[in-house]
Amino acid sequence: MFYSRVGVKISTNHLGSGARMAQINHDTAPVWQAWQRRELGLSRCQACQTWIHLPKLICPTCWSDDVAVEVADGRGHVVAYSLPRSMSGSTEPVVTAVVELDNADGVRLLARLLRCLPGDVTDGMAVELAWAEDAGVMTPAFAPIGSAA
Amino acid sequence: MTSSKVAIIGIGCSEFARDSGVGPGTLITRAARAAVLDSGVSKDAIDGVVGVYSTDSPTLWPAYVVDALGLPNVRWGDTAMPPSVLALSSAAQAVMTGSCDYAICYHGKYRWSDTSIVGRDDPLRQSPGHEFDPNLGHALLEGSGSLLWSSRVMRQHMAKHGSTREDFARIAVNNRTGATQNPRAWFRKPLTVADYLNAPMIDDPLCLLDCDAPVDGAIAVVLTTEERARDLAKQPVVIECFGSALPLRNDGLLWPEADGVAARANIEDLFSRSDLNAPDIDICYPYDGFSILSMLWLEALYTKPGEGAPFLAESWVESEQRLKLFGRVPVNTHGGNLSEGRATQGFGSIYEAVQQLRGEAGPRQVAGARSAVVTNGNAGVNRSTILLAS
Repeated sequence: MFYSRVGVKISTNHLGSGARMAQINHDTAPVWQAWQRRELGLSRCQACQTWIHLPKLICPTCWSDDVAVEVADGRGHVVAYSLPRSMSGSTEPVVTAVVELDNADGVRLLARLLRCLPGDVTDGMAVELAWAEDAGVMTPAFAPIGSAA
Repeated sequence: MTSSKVAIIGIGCSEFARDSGVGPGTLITRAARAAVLDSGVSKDAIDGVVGVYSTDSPTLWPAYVVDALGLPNVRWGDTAMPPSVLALSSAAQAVMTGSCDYAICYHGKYRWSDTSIVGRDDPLRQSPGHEFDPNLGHALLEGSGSLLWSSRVMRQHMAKHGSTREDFARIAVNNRTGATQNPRAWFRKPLTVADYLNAPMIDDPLCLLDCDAPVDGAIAVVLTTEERARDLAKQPVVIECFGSALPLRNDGLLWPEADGVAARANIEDLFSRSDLNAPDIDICYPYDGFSILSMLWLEALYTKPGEGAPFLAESWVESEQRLKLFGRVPVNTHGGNLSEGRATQGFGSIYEAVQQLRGEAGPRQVAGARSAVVTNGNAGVNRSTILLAS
């Protein structure tokens, strides 16, 4: 277990691949930390209100440095999806979707769709935020609106 | 359009720091933003993005910079190997051929987990696993031995040509003297020859002060044709030509003599495309990723092989603790990689040369400077350029 200079707790077991570790860096850590609290933190320009994803510290629209992490509500719709072959041993069907947020203009997330069968997914389907936990690491996922038990 | 020359119209840099507190993407974005703002060109006009990415991918892809700066009209993206003048030449040739009109060209380095102690202990600095360094372990099957090839190059130079650590100290001290006046430089404390001689050995005879230290940072420039450049507020700095050479034996790990051979071939190629000769140039920026490389570049520029040490001795101005070649040509006025750190990998020389040729170098300004030669790299990867005040 490491504790970084910015106080983020990272277990190397859960982030074994170098690629994953490299994604969590000094530019992206604040957003990632919010996600670990089950909050859909996203970069947002405080000068021109542009939502920014992937996480950045400078606004691509107005070039301001005044970028902070704000929590988005996680309502969205499916832009495109695919049905990857599941890892060996798993029989659980997997849907990978690009989800565009309805209330954070321009933000799209790559995420798993939960609580629905592959045959039920449609382009444009309205979804809401869920969370996928994998070995203690929280990542945003989505599910059909109203599908929560 | 191919008759035109290309000019540098904007320069920008991030801070250079041992621990910048931000990721490599932010450093590149800061540098590129500053360069565009310095050029006075609107961001909608930027239509080319070319960068050195292979040492620090994947956040330093041209596509990342396009996204990070919100550039809507980019029609040319390309990458280049380090060091940085390779990217500059790729960008310049894209402008020259009309592939784009206004190109951002950038270079950044970052203290990853496998390049520094800070990086190793910081979970937010894990290497993306694409670290690439020319000559370091590419197809080498031998499993042991120091990959610091330059220490063997230095020892061979000392044995063959009688150069001494005092000779190499002049390079390190000269650069640091320049850095004392350079707010960008990470190492700014004055250095003496005695400091150099007392520095700890890294790979004998290569000591700590022969090496550029890992530093976070990024530099960017904006390029366009000389014609378009004339319409802008800032004085353009014109690229006269580039030189590059990959002689047959160009792997410094196995052929310690390769760096000297390559530098000489590079300089011959460079000046064959210019009416100028090396001694005509007003400021000299020999690459100094390791001080031995500066020695070899200076020899390639000005002396026969192996005569660098006496040339440096006669160029040394004791009262100023710096070199003045032929009594007039200063060397690495900003302090080089040795003072700014490995963040720059030679691009610091481009930044400084542009400031000098614009007359914007402040306390470092070389009066009346009209031309500069910037050499970059070593045997397997080298590219040099001549820059002219417009």
